[in-house]
Amino acid sequence: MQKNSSQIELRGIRKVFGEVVANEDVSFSVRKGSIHAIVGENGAGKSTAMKVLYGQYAPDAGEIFVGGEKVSWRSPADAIAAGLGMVHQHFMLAGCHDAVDNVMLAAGGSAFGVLDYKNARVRLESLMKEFHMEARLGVPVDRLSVGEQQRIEILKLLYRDSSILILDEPTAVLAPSEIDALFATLRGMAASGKTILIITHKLKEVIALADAVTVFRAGRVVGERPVKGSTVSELASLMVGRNVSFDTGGERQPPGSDLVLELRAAQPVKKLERLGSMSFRLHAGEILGVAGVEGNGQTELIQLLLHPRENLESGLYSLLGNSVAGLRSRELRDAGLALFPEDRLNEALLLSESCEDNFLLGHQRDSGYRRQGVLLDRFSLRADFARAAEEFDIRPGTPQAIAGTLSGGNQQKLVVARELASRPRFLLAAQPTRGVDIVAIESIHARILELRQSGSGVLLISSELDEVLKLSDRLLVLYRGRVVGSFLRKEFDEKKIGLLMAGGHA
Amino acid sequence: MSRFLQSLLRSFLGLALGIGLGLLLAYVQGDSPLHVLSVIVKSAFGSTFDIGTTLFYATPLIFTGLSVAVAFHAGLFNIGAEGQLNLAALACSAAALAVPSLPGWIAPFFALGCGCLMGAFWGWIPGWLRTRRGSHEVINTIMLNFISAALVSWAITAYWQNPEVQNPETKMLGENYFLRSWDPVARLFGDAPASLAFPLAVFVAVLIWVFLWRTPWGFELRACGTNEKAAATAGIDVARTRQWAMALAGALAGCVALGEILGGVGKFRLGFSPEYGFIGIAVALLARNHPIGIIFSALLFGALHKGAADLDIETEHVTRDLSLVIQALVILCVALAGAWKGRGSRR
Repeated sequence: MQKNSSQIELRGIRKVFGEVVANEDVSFSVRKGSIHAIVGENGAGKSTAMKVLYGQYAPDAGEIFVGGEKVSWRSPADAIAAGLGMVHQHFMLAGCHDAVDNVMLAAGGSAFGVLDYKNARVRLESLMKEFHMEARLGVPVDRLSVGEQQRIEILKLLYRDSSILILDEPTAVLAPSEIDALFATLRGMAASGKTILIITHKLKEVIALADAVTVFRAGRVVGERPVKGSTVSELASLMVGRNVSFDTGGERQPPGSDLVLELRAAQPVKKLERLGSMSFRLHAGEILGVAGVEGNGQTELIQLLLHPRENLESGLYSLLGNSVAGLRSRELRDAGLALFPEDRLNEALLLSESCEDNFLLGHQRDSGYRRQGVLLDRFSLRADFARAAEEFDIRPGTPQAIAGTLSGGNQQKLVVARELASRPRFLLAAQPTRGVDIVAIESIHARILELRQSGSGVLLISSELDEVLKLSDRLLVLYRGRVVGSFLRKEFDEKKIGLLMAGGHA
Repeated sequence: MSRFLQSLLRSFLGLALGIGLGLLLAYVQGDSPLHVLSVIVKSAFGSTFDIGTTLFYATPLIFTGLSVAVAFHAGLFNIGAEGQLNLAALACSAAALAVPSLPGWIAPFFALGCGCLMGAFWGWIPGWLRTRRGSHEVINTIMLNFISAALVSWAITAYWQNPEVQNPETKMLGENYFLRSWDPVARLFGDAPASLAFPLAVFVAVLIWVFLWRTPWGFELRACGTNEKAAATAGIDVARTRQWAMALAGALAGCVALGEILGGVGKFRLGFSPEYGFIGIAVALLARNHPIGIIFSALLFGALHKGAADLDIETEHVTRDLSLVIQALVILCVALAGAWKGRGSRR
């Protein structure tokens, strides 16, 4: 082993949860001062390996070396003391305190229990200057943009002199321009000798940023190589274990002319203040994409469309030619609306209930599931679920399996199967592939295109610009609750759209 | 299915541990644990009369346990069963006194219906406050218990006091309102106060199970409890469902009047309930809010209640309070067994 160059090394790590082998013989090493990407589908074991490295899990077998020395953590505190630091996907910030407070909170400890705010601030400012990271001080962090919050998370680690930084899906919440800035910062940090591990599923970013990449599949490391000379499709097939197609489904028929959805000067109630007045149309056989960085009114738009009775102040909202302004959300569903909710775990599923109960959710009053008018027909439910599980490849397909134990991809397939079961005329697909593996993404995209082909209208709200570009016939850019741009498919221009998403002018 | 068995196992484990600890306390006090246990068992199930009394105690606990469980499945904590059942029992008696000459085949059900309506109304209030005003149902049900107690004592003394007695109670209801006159169950148990109310309570428990797990409305109610947001996203009117759930909880608590008034003493006495509403919380907890389980856990609590009666006489040191201690230990141990399941996944 070249002791000098490898900053982190994992050897033969094995971690078992119950009967599930999350990591088996995981070995890889990371060079000091490099940016190392860890890629793999959901459930491939990359998070488990990172948690082992960070001291959150104790490995069942295997060894960890940091800076050439064998270590064994009792808790993350040991790992932190040894110079490791982690930026979690969901930030760990005290929202009502400012950056200085948060940084000091993370650093902990002080002479005689007296906090030295002044010094902390000076040091933080010098770090910000050194690594070109801007964040407003003196403002509660929950009022800052997501990009700033993330920078504070990184500053927390720099402040306590972490030399090894682990970032979990750092670009998930950022606009394209912010991503560029983050990458520049990370490169600067690597150049100054920090070692950076980045967990991601966006292979394009791996190619753009990293020096080396380790690929996980089914709990094992299936590839470790320098990024130079690797291609996205090569990494993707390594990740999935077979070739993956990236095409958009061949020829497209032009959308129909019948209106599925129309909003005209639709003004949301005050509670949804992040969203301005909305006017747009969606036609049969059309996918209308809504691009935008998260937090620019997408959630509010969904709430407006789903609960017009509570959330529409004034203006026109019509579905298939009928005004639905005063309707309850159940009546909207009866009128042909279906929804892939934005937040799968909190809004789409009853995690503690069985798959078949989750499949029933929303359809529980359908006459097809009733016997004698009052009793649920478990037999036809089970039959329908079995058919859907087969068709949508939900694993495990046992009706009694608890939804919370399924992988993200399978949970989402369950949601997709349920929502498409009613053959909706209007599908509101919000973040349809968030936290979902590549195979599931392919299959969900295929379903959405299929629905479009069958003459339904789809409103696709996604913070993944690639996804919107791939699927949409037309695209709106949402920024601070307003539509700031509209593009037809042939006019799609990633750069222009990215600029609008970040609040610039095209 | 194995999840169900696991939770059953945990309940039994907690139960055994709780009783074991209680008997250990008796041992520390200087009594033989086996003797204490045999006294309790004999007193609860020793004779037809004992069994009848145990069933009588268990009946209201089934209803209040169901009341707590139904609210719980909708994601709400009903601590107000005590207030609901008191007002309901009063309404039941008042209705019977107000319409004395109904035919016997309908009279008890008319009175019971009035009681249930009152209970439902009293349960609906905190449901409405929670869903429309956002004030927490735990606080509100507790406060409504006090209001109910005050209302009941005021109403008794002001309107329905029986002038021939000193105690705050109503006059006897008419014979036509008594289950006893034709109740086959009461005949079975002779002098014991058991009545048709017990099999009816079991039947209601089964009905509630069917409702919760086999009807669309029960499904919606449970969905509101497991994930409010997902339920709303799926088009379920969470506010309305929860209001109905609380009304149903109140009506179930109101059914206590069936065994206590119509099947029992035949009049409303102030303070007739030895806190059935609160013991119902423990009953539901022990049964993990499963309606069928509630039948058995109510029987257990009923048996402990009845069984403790002879402890004062038959043992040297321990008193009937041991029953309360055992009840408390059982609850703690069952909660402990539940927490034990949650452990062990981290490392």
